[in-house]
Amino acid sequence: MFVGCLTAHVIAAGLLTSPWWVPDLTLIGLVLVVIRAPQRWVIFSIVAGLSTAAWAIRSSSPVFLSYLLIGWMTQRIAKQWNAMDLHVQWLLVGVASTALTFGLIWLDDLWSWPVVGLGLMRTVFTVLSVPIVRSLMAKTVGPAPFRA
Amino acid sequence: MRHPRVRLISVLLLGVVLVLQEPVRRSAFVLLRFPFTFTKASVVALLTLPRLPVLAEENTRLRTELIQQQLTVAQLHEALRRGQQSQALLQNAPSRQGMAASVIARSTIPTQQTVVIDRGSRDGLTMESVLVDASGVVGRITELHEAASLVLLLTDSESRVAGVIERSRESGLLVGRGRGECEFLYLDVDADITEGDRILTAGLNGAFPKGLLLGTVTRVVRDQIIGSTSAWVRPAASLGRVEEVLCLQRSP
Repeated sequence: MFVGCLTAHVIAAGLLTSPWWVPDLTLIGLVLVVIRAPQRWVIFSIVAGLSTAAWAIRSSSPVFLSYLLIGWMTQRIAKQWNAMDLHVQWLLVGVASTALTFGLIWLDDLWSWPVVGLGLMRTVFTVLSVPIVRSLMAKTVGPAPFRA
Repeated sequence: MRHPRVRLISVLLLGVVLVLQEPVRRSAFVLLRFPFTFTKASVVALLTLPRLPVLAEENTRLRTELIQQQLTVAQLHEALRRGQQSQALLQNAPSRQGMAASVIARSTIPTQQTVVIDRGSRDGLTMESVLVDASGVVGRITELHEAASLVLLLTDSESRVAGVIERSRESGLLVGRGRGECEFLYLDVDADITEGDRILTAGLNGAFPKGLLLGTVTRVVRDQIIGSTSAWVRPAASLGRVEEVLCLQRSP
C-alpha cells in the first residue's frame, strides 16, 4: 500500500498539468503506514525521502531529512496518542504538509501571494486525500489495530 | 340539358377520384398482397430460426471486430497526431540538428519545475541541450543519464535565459518564478515593452540559440523609484502539458 502511494504520487504528477495540484500522496502514505507500524518508521521514512529526493535538482538533503523528521514525529505521536483517529491523522498530515510545502517555498525563496496560495491549495488537497487513502488502505490491508 | 349543380358535383367527384386514386390503389395493393407477404415472412422466419445461434455468434464477432477497428483507428489518430507534432517541431528549428523525445515523468516536488525525457547521453545529448516544442522553448537539460535526462523548465526558479523583445529589441533576463509564469527583468524604466509583446532568446550564451520564442508579455510593471521595468511572461510552450519535445544539439 505504501509503494502504491508512492507510485500513485508519481502517476498523478505526470497526469496533472501543475505539480501544485498534486496532493502529497507520499506523505500521506508515510504517515498512515508509520501509524500502523511505528517500529519500522526508519525504513518507511528513508524510502519516502529517497523517492522524493530523486526528483530534486536542489535541496535534496533537506527534502530527504524532512521525510525522516515526519516519520520520527509520526511514530512519537502514534505511541502517545490514539493516532487511529481520523482527526489525529488529518492533523498530522496537515501539519507535516504545511511544514514541508512552506519549507520548500522558503528554501527556494519563492515567496509571493500566488505561490503561497498554491502552497495552501496543495496542503488542502493533501489533507482532503487522507480519508480516501485511509479507506483504500483499510480495504487492502485490513483495519488498523486499535491502540489506546 | 343537365343541371349546373349536377355538373359541378360531377367535376368535383372526378377531381376527388383523380386525387385519391393513387393512395386508394396502393392501399388496395397492400390489402391484396397481405396474405402473400405474411406467408413469405413466415417462411423466411421459419427458415431463419435454425440460424439464430449462428447469427448471434456472428453478431458478437462483428461487435468485437468493430471495437478492434475503433481501437486501431484511435491508435492511427494518435500516431498521426504525433507525426504532425514532430513535423511542427522540426519546422520550428530547421537550422539546428534535433532529436525528438517524449516526456516520461514530471517532478513531484512543486517548487522544482522539472520533467524527465526518454533520451540521454547514449542518444548523443549533452548537458545544457535546449528543448523546444512546436510553440517555443521548454527548458534545458540539467541532469544527464544514459537513457533519460532531467529537464529544467523555463518556469523553475533557477531558470535564467537571456531574452529580447521581438518588436523593440530591448533585452533582459527571463527568470522562472516557480509557477506558470516567468518574469522578464533588468529593463530600463522607459523600456519599449507592452502587453502582448513576444520575447525571443537573445542567443547571448552557448546554450540557447538566438530567435527561439520564449513567451508573451502579460503584464508590465514600471518602478519609478528603483528606475527599472519588469514584465510577467507566459511561456509559449504549454509546460504543464508538454509531451513531445525536440532536443537541440548544442552548437560546437
